[in-house]
Amino acid sequence: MRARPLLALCAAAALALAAWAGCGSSESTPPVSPAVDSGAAECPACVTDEDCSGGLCAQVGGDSYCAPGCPNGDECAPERACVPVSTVTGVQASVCLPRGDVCGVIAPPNDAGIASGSCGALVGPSTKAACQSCGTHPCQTNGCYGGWWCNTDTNRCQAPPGSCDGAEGGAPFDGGGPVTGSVGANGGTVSRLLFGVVGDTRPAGFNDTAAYPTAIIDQIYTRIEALPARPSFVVSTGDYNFASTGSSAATAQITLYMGARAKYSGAFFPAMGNHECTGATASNCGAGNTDGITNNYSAFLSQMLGPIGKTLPYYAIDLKAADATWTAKLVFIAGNAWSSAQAAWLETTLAAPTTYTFIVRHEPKDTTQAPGVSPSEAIMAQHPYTLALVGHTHTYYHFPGREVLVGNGGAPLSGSKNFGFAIVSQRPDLALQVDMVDYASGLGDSKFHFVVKPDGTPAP
Amino acid sequence: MTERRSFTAAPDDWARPLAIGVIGAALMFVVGIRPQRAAHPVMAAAAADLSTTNGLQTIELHVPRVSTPPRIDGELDEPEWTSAPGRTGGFISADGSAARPFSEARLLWDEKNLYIALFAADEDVEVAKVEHDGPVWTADSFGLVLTRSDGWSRTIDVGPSGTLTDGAASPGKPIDYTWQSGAQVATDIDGTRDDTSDRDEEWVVEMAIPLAGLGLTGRSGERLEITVKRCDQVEGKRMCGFFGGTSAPAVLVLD
Repeated sequence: MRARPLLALCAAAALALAAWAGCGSSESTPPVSPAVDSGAAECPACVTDEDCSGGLCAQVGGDSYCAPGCPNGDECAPERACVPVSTVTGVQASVCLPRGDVCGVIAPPNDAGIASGSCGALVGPSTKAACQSCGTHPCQTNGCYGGWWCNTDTNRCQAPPGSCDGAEGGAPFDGGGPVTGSVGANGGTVSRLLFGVVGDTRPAGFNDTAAYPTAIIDQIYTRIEALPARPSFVVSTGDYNFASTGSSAATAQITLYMGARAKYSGAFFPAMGNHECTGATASNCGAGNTDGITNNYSAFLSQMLGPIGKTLPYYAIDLKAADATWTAKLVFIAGNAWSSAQAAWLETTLAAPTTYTFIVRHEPKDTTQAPGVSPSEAIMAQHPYTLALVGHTHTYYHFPGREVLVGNGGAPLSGSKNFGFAIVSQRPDLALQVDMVDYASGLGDSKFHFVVKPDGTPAP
Repeated sequence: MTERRSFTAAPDDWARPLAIGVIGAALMFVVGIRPQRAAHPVMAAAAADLSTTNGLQTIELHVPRVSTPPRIDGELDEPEWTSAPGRTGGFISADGSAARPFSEARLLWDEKNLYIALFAADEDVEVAKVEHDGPVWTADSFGLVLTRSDGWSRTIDVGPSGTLTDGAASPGKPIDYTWQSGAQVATDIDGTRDDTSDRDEEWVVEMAIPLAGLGLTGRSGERLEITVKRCDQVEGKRMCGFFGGTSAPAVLVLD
């Protein structure tokens, strides 16, 4: 944030003394270019549009700043988001603001799609409503333009809600850039990384196929598919069934899962959870292991890994950039099918250098009852990686460090947060931003939003 | 980690606790003793329901009769629990929204018992360090109140370890915790209790409560008002969910 508390005082001083020198010095801050791509003077203060050299003087974050307009929604440079605002004269407009909390307002993160859904009387851009304020602008489904939401009580357009029930600290997303290239069962080449993370989708009770959360899973994948920039692939963090090992319920429940997952047309890479063994966190499946080959384990292998040609519950997927600027690998650890063979494979796999390494394992590092958690953490500690994506607990968190818990995919929620999915999106500077999207509203949780560098350290 | 526990509370009948309660209250009055126990949290809510039920639609929770009773082991893997039990669905919070964390109850009955399965999603399972008939509601617990049409109630509070506190109440009288339901209880904790260094998944209670202690004779069509409450400490906030209660009174009906 930039010296906002001084702005009013500075403006008053300028009027009274006809001098700016003591208040941030307009002499040392050149007028902003409408292109606004310099990186310097990202939020120059203004009083009128005349201060902005062709840009607009927009009210943001409790003050007013110059920013280039984006009436069509696609004029912004990649590091900026097109955000609906009011100008200092009270006119509805859309301007390009730096992403992140730069101008005293959190501009939408770089990706995941235009906000939709509803928030009280407000309905998002892609929801049909009776507002009529488009004029000559491209009109959204709700009758507004520029990302604004329609207030169905008044049929007037207004800025998107900052938060909403069911989407704590909610914020809309911009469309981001489309992803070109493709990812298949053996990886692929894409223009940038953009993928979803879904976790923990089992019902509350043993063999309770009738209560399987199909509707929630369906909604999650439908929403992922509908994002304007469709993610190239989705990874899941485990626990797709809750079945007694001697029953056929696992097969039935995973069939429901895969049916709902089919709402998304991209590649899908699942990790194994403890419920794909016996259900016990300490269980260990696979040939030669304590719990052997259970029905749940077999159903996971055949129904979820079979379609991508994997025969073991641990595997890796390689990805690379179309312009050869980065490489990435997805490493799926099966903590409930741990073996010396998997340990050796993990050591070798993590040793292969890539720009990004995403480790996907069901249990978090503190769930040491799972046989593969502590041994895999010991191996991970010897190698670089970007993020460890985990589930097991039915909520979501970003823990200090590199572990991200995504377990709110439909299983009975154990915390206060709602169902949803995470989106990992690569920025032009190769940093990755991670957002949590509410499955019902489509809004992101701004309290969860974070950005990391390829080595997993925080990025601005 | 899965931890299972079970035990049975000593059985009792419906009439005895009243006498004990009256005698006990008289003795306490004579010697000047006042109950030190914290007020029962669900009982207060249930008492309030009785005066606010008029004008509200009462939910009827139909409870199917089973020919094969479930084994009380904390595992809800018998087909009776999944085929078509009486099911509350996810509890709701005081504002009518879906309660968080998720909680649910399922019910069955046969000629001997009312069977209740309670499911509690929980990031951090906390067990009250209390004895049987102590205030188990000071940590993770379910509170169940079953009330006859004449106002007589039975309260059953149970925590993740299976510690059970059962009491009998009548209008205008304190709860008599000398009443014993005779319930057989088993629990299953998926996680580690009283360990905040990790994150847990859930805990489950499976109970068989003798019908006689609840004032039921085992006839199809018998009814009891039911309130179930579950509170949990989540991210520094106490969050509660209900089935039945003030805003949506519920009655279980033996089918």
